[in-house]
Amino acid sequence: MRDESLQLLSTLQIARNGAEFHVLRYQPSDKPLDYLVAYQAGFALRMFENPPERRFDFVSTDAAVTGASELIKAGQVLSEQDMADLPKFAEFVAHWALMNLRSLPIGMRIDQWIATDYPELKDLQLENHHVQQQMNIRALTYRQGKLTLPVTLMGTLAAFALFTDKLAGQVRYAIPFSAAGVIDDGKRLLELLDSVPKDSLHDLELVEKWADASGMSNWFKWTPYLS
Amino acid sequence: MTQQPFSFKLPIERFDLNLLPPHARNIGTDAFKDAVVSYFVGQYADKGGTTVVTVDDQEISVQTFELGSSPLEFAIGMLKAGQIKEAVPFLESMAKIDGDNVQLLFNLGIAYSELGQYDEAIIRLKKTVQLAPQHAHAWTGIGIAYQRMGKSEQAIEPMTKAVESDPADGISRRNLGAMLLGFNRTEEAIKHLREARKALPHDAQTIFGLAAALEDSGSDEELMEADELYTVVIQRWPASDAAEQSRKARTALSHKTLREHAPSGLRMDAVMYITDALKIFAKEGNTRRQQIALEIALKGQSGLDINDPEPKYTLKTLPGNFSGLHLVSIMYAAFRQIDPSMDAGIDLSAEYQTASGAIKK
Repeated sequence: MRDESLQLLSTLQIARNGAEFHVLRYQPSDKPLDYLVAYQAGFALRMFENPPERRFDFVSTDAAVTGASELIKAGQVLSEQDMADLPKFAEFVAHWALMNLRSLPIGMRIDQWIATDYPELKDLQLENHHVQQQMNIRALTYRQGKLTLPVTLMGTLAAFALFTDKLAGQVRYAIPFSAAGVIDDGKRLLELLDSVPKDSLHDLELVEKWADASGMSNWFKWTPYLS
Repeated sequence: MTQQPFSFKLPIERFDLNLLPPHARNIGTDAFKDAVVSYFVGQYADKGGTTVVTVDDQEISVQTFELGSSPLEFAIGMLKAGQIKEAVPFLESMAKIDGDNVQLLFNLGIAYSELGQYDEAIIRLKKTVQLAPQHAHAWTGIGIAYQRMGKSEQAIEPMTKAVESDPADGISRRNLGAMLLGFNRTEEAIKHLREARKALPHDAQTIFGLAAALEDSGSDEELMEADELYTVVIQRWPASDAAEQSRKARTALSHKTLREHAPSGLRMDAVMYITDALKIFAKEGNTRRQQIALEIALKGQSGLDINDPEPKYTLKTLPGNFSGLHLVSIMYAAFRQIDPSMDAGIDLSAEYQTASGAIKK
């Protein structure tokens, strides 16, 4: 489904509670959608490769906003206006960080699968990654007053930049994260990616390991998926 | 691999100072800025292509270009997209390593001029013509910068050099013509504007400028040509600023001619038209009056020829054929009744007073 208001390149809403279809939304583009469709289909395939009792939804907890708020405030003297803006900003940061945590590590498994099994999609894959990296890099400058995205939550983006560079055989997207001092966090997350078995049965474990490394273990919980 | 440029910004406080040599870790200093530039240029150096880095007091901007793509073209694209303020640091950064690049200097000069930094503009543009004496647009740019500084007399020389550098260049001719017109050197202005029109037959500003110069000249023949050219602008570019100015110019021209044809100071034909209109309004009522006035106003948007006595216009709201002056007189009477402050584009107040006085009697 074409969605002009979408902030991401594409999303997939898995059918649940009796819904008949999964819904894939994508930003309008003049480029073929093949890669985005394959990428999003990868999430559905990996979820349903698991037996029903091992299919879970990813749900945020109250600790996410509290934790985000603490990270944003850390070491700063905030104005009254910043303090007034903090609750909403923390909500946004928590949502953004959890979305990265949920989608990037498993997304890298899917990207690796596409790169290996569907090399004809490689050019589209790299073009989409370029757009995605250009979007991700804005996180380094995003601010509202004195409120900025905490450096400790940038590791996922740094890992994805390293991953894209490796896929493309270059060093390009990781450089700004090196300059911002978060590249080591990204490297640690990529090491975890390599340490966990690649099959979908271990996807939850992968997300949990990334969460541990990013200090987000209690920011979410798994609830049983209801088809 | 994608050939698209990759760009990003980094707030200076986000930069990891451990990556810089100890003497350059004081944020905001020149040593800091130079070290940051060196860092990013070094990081991207072995990737081929070009990297443009700018550092100001708040942000670091990095733009990388793959081998074969042109940073200058990218910056010019930014200028064309109106991102002038954003493009200048990139152009300046490029100028540091390619200071004799004519295209770069020219675009930087024009960008400064657009930003109102005329001294900076003139320095770059003068260097451009020093390196490329036949660069007509750079000479014109110098002239425009002087003009914008309020130094119009100093603008004439570079603008003349622009025309000498490339006599076939319409933009140079147009700008010099407009400048000369400002100095009442009308005949010279007309000469250049006629040449400009040959080179730029589809440029509204050139045609409007020529019309204005011809109007300034004042002979009957030239006034007629000016009126024709104003009409061309209105018809071909109806929504442009030049068309709006042309409409005003045509109205003023018509008004002037109208008064010249009324030696006694009063146009009796207009008095008669207004008298008839007031009678119609009294009989038909306010709603009808407004409908008639609106229809004439809409018709008048493309210009009504009030100096031609031929009854060549018709209305849906009133039967008969009307001359331009007749329609304007009806509209004027309606406007005076609806709201005396409304601008009908012509002053028929004396005629209106006479007509309304006659009706009262």
